[in-house]
Amino acid sequence: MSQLITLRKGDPNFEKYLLGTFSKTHRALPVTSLNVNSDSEQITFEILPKNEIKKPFFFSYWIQILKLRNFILVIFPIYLVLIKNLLDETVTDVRSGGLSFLGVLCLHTAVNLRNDYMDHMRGLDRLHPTSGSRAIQRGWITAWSAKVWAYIFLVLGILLGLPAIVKYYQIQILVGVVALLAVLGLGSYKVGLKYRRWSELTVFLLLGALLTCGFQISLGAEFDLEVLALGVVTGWFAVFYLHLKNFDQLMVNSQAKFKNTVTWLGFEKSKRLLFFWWMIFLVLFNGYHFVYASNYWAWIIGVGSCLSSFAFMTSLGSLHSPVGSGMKQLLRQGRYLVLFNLCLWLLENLWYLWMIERWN
Amino acid sequence: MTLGFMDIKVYDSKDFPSYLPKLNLLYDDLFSGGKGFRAKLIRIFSDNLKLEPKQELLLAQTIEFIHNASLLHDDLVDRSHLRRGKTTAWMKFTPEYAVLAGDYLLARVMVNLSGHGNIRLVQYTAEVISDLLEGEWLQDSLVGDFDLELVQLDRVHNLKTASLFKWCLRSPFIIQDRYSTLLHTTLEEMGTILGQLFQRSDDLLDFDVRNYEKKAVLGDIKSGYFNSFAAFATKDLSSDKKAQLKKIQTLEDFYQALGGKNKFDEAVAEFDAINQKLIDLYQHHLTTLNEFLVDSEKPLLAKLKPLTQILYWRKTSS
Repeated sequence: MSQLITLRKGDPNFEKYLLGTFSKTHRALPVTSLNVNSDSEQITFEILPKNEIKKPFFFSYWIQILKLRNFILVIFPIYLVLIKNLLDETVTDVRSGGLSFLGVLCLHTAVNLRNDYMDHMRGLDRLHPTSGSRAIQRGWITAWSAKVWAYIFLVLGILLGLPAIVKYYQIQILVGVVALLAVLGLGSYKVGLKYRRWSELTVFLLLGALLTCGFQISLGAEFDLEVLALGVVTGWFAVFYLHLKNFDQLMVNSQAKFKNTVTWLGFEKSKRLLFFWWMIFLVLFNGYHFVYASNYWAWIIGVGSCLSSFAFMTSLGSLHSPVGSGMKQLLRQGRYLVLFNLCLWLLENLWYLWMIERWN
Repeated sequence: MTLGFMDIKVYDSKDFPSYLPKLNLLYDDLFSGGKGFRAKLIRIFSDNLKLEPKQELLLAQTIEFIHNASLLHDDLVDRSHLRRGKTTAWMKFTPEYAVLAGDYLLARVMVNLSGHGNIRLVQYTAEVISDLLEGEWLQDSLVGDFDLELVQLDRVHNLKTASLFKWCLRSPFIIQDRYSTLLHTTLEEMGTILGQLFQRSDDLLDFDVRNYEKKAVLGDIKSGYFNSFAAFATKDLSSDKKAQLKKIQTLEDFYQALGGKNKFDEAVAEFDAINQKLIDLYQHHLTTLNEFLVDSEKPLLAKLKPLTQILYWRKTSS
């Protein structure tokens, strides 16, 4: 049996309810709102006994809380760099590379949890009821525990990354760039990363060149142009995914006056943005393969990536509403497109490994 | 409980230029029908907040002018032939006159409000008109889309339907220069709920549920508009099966698509249950509103309490 309670910021219990620390037996779930300009000074909570909150099965629960789907954007560039260095036989520091990999995963988890926490505290998750992990909104975890776990993963990430940072001065430079981005970002961190116009640059660098170059160096290899090119492709790819998600939330973000490139361009021009962004990705993706990959794989990737784009482009062209089912379909096809191309790339690299094994 | 006899004369032909051909004929037709629910809502607030008669008339006129302007445009956009049992304005006169008559009403709203001099009321009203038009625009972009989800329609209805309810609740306070953010946040949420309930109840009529006035059924689906109940009831059907709903002609066809009349009744019960949660939330907001009212205004709460019964359950008296 649930009950409702409305609290204001001045109320001594306000923060306890928002953080979820007001009770050990109950959870306070903020009621979602269709009014995007609602003031977060006053929140209505639905109070539910913990035992009445439905949780999914173990794996599904953790997959959603940790947003494992987004991990692919971190793990994949690392996988590519690892294979590249295995093929080039430049892996000289397995321990540092392994620890850096675990460190990056921890940092990514920390960012995800911190985002959920911030979205909850600022009321953004009440405007976007389908966005994020929804773990706090559904009462699976409290905002307080999300915050604590974010800090734990942050500390773990730093500790795991320390050996590489201490050992390689180039990584110290990259960490400096990340710190600079973080400081610049913090200055305007009124809303989450995805709600700011130039967040694309941050994502482009963090999931692109900074990640690939940093990981290669942590493996004990030297910086080279190929790893930079790899970072440009994966960074561009990550930003495409970000644009796609922002496009799906265009209406609410626009109403709430959140600034990102998609809200700045609007519905029709953002369709063109997605089209050109993907086209440029195809050029970069195929350009990289024609320069660095074997000939037959360059052709397989070229044909496969172009053909797989057809359904997405058709849906994009015929999309005529920012709130209809077409948007949902576009997001789904965008995800399939991303996955298909990643699978192609994965197979290509496995093939190289297999070939090397065979020759040896 | 009834909302009382509507004795506010919101439309007077003398307020509009008599030299314009057909304008007053068109408005006579337009304003002679309708329940004037929104103006009655203004009356409830006016009585309890002790608004001056001039203020009450201004607010009642404003909301009815905006509402009727939206109907003029809506009927043309939807190519509807009937409104309140009569031939629609664009059919009876011309599409051009229907558009201009709607525009003229909106212009008159701004003239009246700016004459009163409360700039925040003018600004808020302009925002509501913008919301209404955005809702109309989005709704038009959804025609023929039979794979919608309730949450998507809620966003459109919040702009198109609920914006006017929100205005009815907030404007009486604004005209009294009561601008507390917390008060208006509460009223905004209450207005959203009333708008949603009104829309969802209206959408149920299309499936002959609580259709005491015996309105025509399946009008929405036949005109390519997938309404909130249709979206809710078919949420577990595949996209292909939903697409087949475009061909249905009778309620029996719809029952069959869901898996029989029993399934339909279950969907109605489930729909009622989620709307009852909205009603509970509305009742909760009333207790919050109580904190913003002085003692002499508190009877307002008793008047607002049964609105959900009237709007959703369509109970006209108690």
